[in-house]
Amino acid sequence: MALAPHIYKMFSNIVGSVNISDDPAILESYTFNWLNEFNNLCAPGKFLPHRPAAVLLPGSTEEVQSIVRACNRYGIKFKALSTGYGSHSLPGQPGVVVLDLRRMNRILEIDEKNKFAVVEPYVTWAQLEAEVIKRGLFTTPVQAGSQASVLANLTSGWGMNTFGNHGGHNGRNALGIEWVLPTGDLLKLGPPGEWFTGDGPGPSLRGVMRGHCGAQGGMGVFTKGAIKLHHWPGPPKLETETGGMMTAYLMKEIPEFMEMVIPCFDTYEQMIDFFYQVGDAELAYVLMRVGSAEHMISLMGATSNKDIYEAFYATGMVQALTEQMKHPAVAMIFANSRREFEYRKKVMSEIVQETGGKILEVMTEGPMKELMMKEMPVALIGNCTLFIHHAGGFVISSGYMGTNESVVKHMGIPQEEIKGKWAKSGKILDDGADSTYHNSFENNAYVYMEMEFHYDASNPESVDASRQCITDERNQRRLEKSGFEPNDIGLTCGDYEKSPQQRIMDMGPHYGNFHLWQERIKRAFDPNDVSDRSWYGAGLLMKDAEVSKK
Amino acid sequence: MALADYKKDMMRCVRCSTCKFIPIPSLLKSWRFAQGCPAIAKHNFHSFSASGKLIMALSLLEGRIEYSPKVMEILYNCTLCGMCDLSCKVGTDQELWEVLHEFRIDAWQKNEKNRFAPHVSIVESIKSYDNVWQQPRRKRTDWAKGLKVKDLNQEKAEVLYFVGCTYSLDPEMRRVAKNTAILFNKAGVDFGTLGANEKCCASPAFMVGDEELFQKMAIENINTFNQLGVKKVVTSCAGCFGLIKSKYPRVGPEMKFEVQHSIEFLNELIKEGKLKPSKEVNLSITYHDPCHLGRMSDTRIPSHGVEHYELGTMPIKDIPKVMGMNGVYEPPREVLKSIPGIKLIEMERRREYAWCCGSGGGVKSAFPELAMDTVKERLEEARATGAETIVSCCPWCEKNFEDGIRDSDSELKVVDAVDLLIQSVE
Repeated sequence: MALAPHIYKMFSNIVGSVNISDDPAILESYTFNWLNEFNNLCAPGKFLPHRPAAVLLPGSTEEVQSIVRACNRYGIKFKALSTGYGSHSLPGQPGVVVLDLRRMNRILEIDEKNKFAVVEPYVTWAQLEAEVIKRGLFTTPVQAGSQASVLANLTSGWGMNTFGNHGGHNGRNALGIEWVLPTGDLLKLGPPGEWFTGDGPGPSLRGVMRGHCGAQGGMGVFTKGAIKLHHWPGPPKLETETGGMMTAYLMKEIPEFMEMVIPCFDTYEQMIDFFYQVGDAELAYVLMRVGSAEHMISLMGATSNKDIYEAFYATGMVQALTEQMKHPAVAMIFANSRREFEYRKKVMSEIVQETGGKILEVMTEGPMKELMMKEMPVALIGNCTLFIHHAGGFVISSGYMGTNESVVKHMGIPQEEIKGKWAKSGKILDDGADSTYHNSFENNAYVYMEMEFHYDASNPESVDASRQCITDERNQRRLEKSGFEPNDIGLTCGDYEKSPQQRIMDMGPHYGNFHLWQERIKRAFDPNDVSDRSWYGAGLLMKDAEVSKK
Repeated sequence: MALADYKKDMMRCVRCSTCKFIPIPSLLKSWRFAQGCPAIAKHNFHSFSASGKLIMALSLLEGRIEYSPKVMEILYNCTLCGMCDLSCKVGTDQELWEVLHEFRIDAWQKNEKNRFAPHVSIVESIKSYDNVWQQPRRKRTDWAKGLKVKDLNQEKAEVLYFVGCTYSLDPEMRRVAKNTAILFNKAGVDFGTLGANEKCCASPAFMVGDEELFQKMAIENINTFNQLGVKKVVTSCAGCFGLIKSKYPRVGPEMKFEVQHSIEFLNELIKEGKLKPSKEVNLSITYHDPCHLGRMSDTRIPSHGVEHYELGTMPIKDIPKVMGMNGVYEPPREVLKSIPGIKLIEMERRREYAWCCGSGGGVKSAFPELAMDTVKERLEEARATGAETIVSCCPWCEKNFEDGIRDSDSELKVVDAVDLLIQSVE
């Protein structure tokens, strides 16, 4: 659906003629994305049936406001994206004007004393990390990868972070935010001219802005945001050299006061006890579980699939490790001084012992130690998580947020059966039935778990098996009543024959009818319904009476 | 291979944006120098990234779009520097660079009417004159006047010095060939050239997608080199080096010679004590890694090999994964460090993740604005080191640096590593 020439000219006047295009060769790249193969509009293909009406590259908040106001005036729908990783960053309906925020890419401020940074939408985690680490500060990069937008994670999407045990979830690290509302009005969360908090007098708008999952671009455009930074006890510069299997780079030197501890437990209960005790002692920067050894090995990407297979599988190494590593946890310790480091290691060692953990010999010497101490930190500190795409297909289950017990009971244990069935089918990657990420936040105040599946995005049979696996898992999840599904990617993928809005309609009654509240908020903030709502709420399917129902 | 053979790579793209940046956060030293891809850095629309071009190729294959001037503009607004390929391969087995190149072969064949005039002109020059500069063949020997250089058309030698079109024909660049020959003679190297019979390596034809001409020239050159019976073919031009070493193996005939860049060869001569840099050259410099001496000199064969699955759906290719880690990174640095008085300060983006100078892939001739923006970005990075001079080993990089300096009032100077070495050798 092309824009009328006078509308195109109007937008062109706002952003400049080189920053707008409606050429099919440009528009096509805004119709293709990861997970499109699960989108009911295009599955099993990769292209959406509709192209955007145009793509605009605004360079400032003022330009964004002008575009949004014009959209309101002419009834044109819009959708903003930044680094744009995933189907949910694309428009979900025809005739939408896309705002690619790539030109808004500055770090505006780093307040070292008060530990926050103010960024524009296209600043990546890697860029922010490079600037703050030399100031003795650290970020909480989302696992979508270091190339992903900081602001998108703060405002618009879910996404866990490896350093969440120390630094918390980024929805909670969001401070002051500048928000172009769907009407084009500018709203600044937090005190005027200040960024240190997103709250002020009166009710908090941070919940309206993002809640837990974010609005996926369905509630206007976020143009600036402040993120909480954290103390970094590691070196001011991370020196790497080429080599290794995970990311193609190794730490040149292991930081003096850094230790990676990978205890294995016979039972989930022991592992949970370990999580609680490490959380209580506030010991670790990273506290997580990466499934079985099989799963951990399958995450390596820098080396070729062939080399991974030959080094770890053909030799029987993975199978042997899997036998020994029933429930492995990963804890990463940092300290500021030798004394503190010794203390942390000692307490960690005692907790491992008390909780029945075993440190396998294979992890303390030889290639596995090298891997854990020199390669894993590059992946974790740098959050280089692109190694998850062996064949372009990686997807997670809907995810589950709650206490350790609830996630293990409702997700970990049942999913081993579900995943196991599909892993053995030969249609998805057999990386072990137990492939859960289980990440602690805020010293184990709560945890998040997701089960992941790898498939070949170029193989329709493999895509289809993955969809069925997720649907099985989703159906299982709905039977549970504790904890909740927080995940936007889960929304994208679950129950694949349905639209994202249908999925939300299904979810709502299980989780406090959140979809009704979401729609009321949407209507209040976007009276002309111009902020593309395809990935936000279920309003496209709702009748007025239903929305106002008590 | 045909474009359709890379359909799996296109479908496996996850549009994560990694191809736009330096791959690993720990390689980044600042916000300022985080970009990896010159094309997206200038044009911003996703289509200009490697991912965008893969998507565009898939769209063409699926008949959603057709070749158009815009498709060509996007496809050729790219220096083919290979940075995207490295960034992506940190996490995947995907082919990016090969797809971009195959896309150009497809475009050159199927969309003749939208070829860019400067590219056509260069290709015609190679066909007519065996060089890219529309110069008569006899001029290839001008640089060597007064120097002791064997004519390998007449006599034998251990080393063929393959001078390259630009070093032999561009009056501003001939000094590098001359200095190289002087150094070879000082070290007692048994070398010679093909003189007027030297033919273009065909890099420009390869880069714009004229596969037919590339194949023809590459096979002719390999056969000539084999017939000479030389042990080594040494080139001064990073473009020639990258092509002969890394891309000639794909055309078929066995290469019975070793390929080296002159800086590698000179480094060996220094290590063997045949050249002794002893005079002080008091200069603070920074070194620019040319793409085709660096990441693009890893041998790449355009093939998926035979792909099969292990562990259900893990695709296993029976060909090596090439990331560009085996480029020529250390020899130029060793040569420069061997010169007394030289202070080498590294730029933030270096070695396999160096920022491109902006000249390659047919960009300098057809899209001078992209070439200029890209080189200015590199000059800014060089300036940030505090160095007085930027050093490289590639005529295309050096010419573009000169243009960038002229256009930006930069106080930086640009020299070839050989220019510095000769100042130091007695």
